[in-house]
Amino acid sequence: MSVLNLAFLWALPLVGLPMLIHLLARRRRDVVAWGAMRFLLEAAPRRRRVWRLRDLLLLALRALAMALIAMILAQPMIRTAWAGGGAGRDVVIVVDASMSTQQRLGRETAYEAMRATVARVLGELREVDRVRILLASTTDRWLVGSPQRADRELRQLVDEQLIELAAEHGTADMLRAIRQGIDAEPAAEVNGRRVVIVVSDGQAHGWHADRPARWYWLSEDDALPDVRVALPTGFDQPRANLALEAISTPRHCLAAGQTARLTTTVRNAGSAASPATTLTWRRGEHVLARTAIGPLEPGQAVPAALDHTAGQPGVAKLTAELDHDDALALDNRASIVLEVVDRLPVLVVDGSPSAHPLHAAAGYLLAALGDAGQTGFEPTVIDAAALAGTRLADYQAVVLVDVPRLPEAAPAALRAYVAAGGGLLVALGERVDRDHFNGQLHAQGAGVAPLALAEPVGDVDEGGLEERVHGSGEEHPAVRLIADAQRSDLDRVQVYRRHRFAGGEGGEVTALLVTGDGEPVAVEGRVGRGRVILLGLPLDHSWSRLPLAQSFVVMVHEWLWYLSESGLTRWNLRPGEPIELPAARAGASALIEGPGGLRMTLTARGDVAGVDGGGGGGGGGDAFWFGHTTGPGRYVVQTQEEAGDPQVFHVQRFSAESDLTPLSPSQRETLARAGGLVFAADPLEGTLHDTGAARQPVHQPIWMALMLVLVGLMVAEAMLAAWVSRRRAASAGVPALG
Amino acid sequence: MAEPARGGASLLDPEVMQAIGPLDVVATRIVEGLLAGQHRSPLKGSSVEFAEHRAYSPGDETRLIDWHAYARSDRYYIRQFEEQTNLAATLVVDASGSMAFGMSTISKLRWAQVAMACLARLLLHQGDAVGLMAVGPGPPRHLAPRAVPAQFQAVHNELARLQPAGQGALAPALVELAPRLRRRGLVLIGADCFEELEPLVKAMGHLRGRGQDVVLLHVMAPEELAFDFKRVSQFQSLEADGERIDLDPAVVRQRYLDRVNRFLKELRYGCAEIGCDYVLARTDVPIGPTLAHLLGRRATGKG
Repeated sequence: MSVLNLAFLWALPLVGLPMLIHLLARRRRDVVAWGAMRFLLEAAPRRRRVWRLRDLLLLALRALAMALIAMILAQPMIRTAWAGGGAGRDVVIVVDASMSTQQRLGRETAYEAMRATVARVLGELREVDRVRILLASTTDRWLVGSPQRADRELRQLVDEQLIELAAEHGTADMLRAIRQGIDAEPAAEVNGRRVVIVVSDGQAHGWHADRPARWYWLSEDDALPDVRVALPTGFDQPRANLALEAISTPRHCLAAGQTARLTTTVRNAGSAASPATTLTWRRGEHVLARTAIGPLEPGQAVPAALDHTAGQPGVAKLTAELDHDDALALDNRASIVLEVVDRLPVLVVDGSPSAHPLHAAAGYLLAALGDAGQTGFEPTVIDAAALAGTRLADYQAVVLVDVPRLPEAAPAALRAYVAAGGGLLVALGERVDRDHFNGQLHAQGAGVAPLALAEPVGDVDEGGLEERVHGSGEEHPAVRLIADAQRSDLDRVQVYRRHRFAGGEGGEVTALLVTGDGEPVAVEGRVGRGRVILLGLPLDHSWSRLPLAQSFVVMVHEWLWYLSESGLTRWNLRPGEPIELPAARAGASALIEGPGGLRMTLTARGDVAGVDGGGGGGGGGDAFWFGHTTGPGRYVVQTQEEAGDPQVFHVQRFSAESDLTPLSPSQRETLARAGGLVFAADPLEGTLHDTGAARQPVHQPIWMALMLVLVGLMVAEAMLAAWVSRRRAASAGVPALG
Repeated sequence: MAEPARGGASLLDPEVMQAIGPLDVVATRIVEGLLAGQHRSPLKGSSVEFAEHRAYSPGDETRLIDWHAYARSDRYYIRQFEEQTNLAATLVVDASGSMAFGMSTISKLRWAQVAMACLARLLLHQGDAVGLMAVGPGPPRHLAPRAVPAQFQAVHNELARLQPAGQGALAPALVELAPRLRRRGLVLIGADCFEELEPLVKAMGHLRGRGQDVVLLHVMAPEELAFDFKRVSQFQSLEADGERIDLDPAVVRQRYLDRVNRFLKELRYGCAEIGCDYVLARTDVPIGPTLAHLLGRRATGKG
């Protein structure tokens, strides 16, 4: 036997207290040397021995009560196999914490029903069982990481934590979570089998039921544990669920006065028809517009768009929200954060100055940039020699226009600039020194240029290549517009001569423009946080007709916006994409608040950006960095030393979580057959395997039993004392014998 | 608890002696001895004053034959004279353990010692013979009655030596005493009589049968008669070692008193039946008045 509070055992000598009181009482008792003893003995002869027995019994009861009190305070534990009744189970509960668990049926959400299931399972576990709890979400994590006994304290703690976690909006991969539950270290204290209990809302997404091959590993190995799945009842009935997909826009950065089209899609992700409703667009609390949404059949989707004209410079959050209450309210709202800038400063390094406008490549570029008041671009033209003395950080983008050679320190400065988030457009031309380019700008991959240059192809004097270019695809934001054959004339641009890139397309290099043969004409590379576009054509019309095409202006604008965006703060993030916010200095602190009760302090670091770029040599600036953006929603960063508005980031949710389609009976059957999953209302039923192992002694608290004994003792003592008192009182009136 | 006798004078309370001094010991029953000048013995014996003749019977002393009467009547007559004798008193003191009891007063033994010493002085002063029997834990010690002044010292010393202990054994002691008393006289018993009453009454009756005038001074402490203890107490026996009892006096008081009163009643009735003079001597009542009351009652013949 062991005790939890050893100190209370020092109270055990209190057992002697009743004895001491008894002895003291006896000492205080008058002693009379008596002569007429025979009359006293005749007066009380028979009760004497009985009274002594009663007194001794009372004394024993009181001493025992004192001993019990000391023992109860010491909280004794006995090590016994009897209490356990057999081998303990190593239980891992996997709780689906994805957004779809917030779906509502009547007043109850699936998550609340699941929480009750977890509580019930914990309540049914025995003393010898050990349990861990894994939360399955965008990133799986342990709620209870080490094997614990499911006592009342743990049950209460788990329930409280599950209540706090109710606001999570992630997505769960149940296969991955189950695997993690199976691979967890065996609990050392139990010798029973592992049992994995999955508590989920039964949404089909995340179960990979359409790919049974992924589950075979689980059923093929008999040594692997049982996996039992508990689903709340009733949530598989047909319900409508309108969901807003993420708001998209070509650019998240606009010049003041520019108009951007925001688009989203309203989809009925439920299994029943939805009624008509309205979609309200808001900037902050200000209503911008309302869009009528008609009734939608299950699976039907309708687009919704808003042409939004950027207002004052700054960061604005736009929200679209359905005025509709359905099964899942969390997907009735979508947000996007736009940044409006006053001017976009661009540094143009002109490597081939010419007085004749038709022969000056920079001239075509400046013409394309247009008036700063309308386009937002604010170009500054310098020659290559002046680059060394120019502060690059003052510009959102740098354009090298047919620069033959750069000053000695310029390649490193450009790399650091790009790594810190700057944008670089290198427009190659006739005057480019290929050896210098490959040695300084590419530098075997350590420079700013993503690819090296090979010998140009095509001869203008002999008629040239007669090649045409086109965009590599409509998915890339830099070429989405010019790749649209319906609206762009890019495919009519003739190329007579062009630079070739050596090494081809690498893992970090993306082709933007390609020839009909697939040869890259323009490629994009990344250095640190910044982007670099390498164009194998000059910006004048000496090698191609590109500057004469209508798409040229669009291309220059889109590319410069695209390059500039990398230097701007990214306000709209995918789940898991880190938050990066420039800071005044390293060591500054900021408070970040986010979904799921997130609230923590960030410290600015000097190596946030540029670290991933490699070899940049401190290209990053001081910034706050937060990478745990697994939960979709709104993240607010408030710098604590600089007065100003809090910075709002928006992490998009997972649209698949809006699809509330439950696991169908056939899908369940597939999972049961392929993975051996057992779908059961009572997941613990039948998990008490008799493994044949020796019964495992466990520490069993016995103070509750002692408490009951103490209560019984006190009752017995009170009854005995009352009886003795009554008997004594009654005996006073007994008539004389004889 | 016995109080040690510190000297002969300690047993003679001046106040007691003052109270009983004017009184004489008067025997009211048929007692052969009288105080000098006041009592005539019913017994005939050798004396200077002729009483009567009686027929000779074998065994009579031949010197007592009245030859003159033989000459006249040709029959043998014995000359009988009125014998002027003194009282032969035997003082019996019970020294059992229970006689040591005394809480608010002197112990019962002390009371008996003083009373007997006073009576011894008085009797010796009147010329009576005084003897003593001390009944203690061992064999009873006996002091034969004598009328010499030095007898007081002997009685006194014997009284002072008494140490209370053991169970009461008065009845066998009285039985043993009876054959020792050849002359009829007075037996004064000072005891609490905490023993079986039947043998005790029989023993006293035996003495009465042998012509002894028996007076029982029944010594009782007030606590034994009232039992008015308030607190729960432990009562330890004065007679049997280790015998004790814890009790609440209030609870057993009534039954105790019932038994004590029954005991007193039986003892008194027993004494009355055998013609024994019974006097309840409470230790909280001064010895003088008690003895005065006793002697006064005997002088008036009430009894």
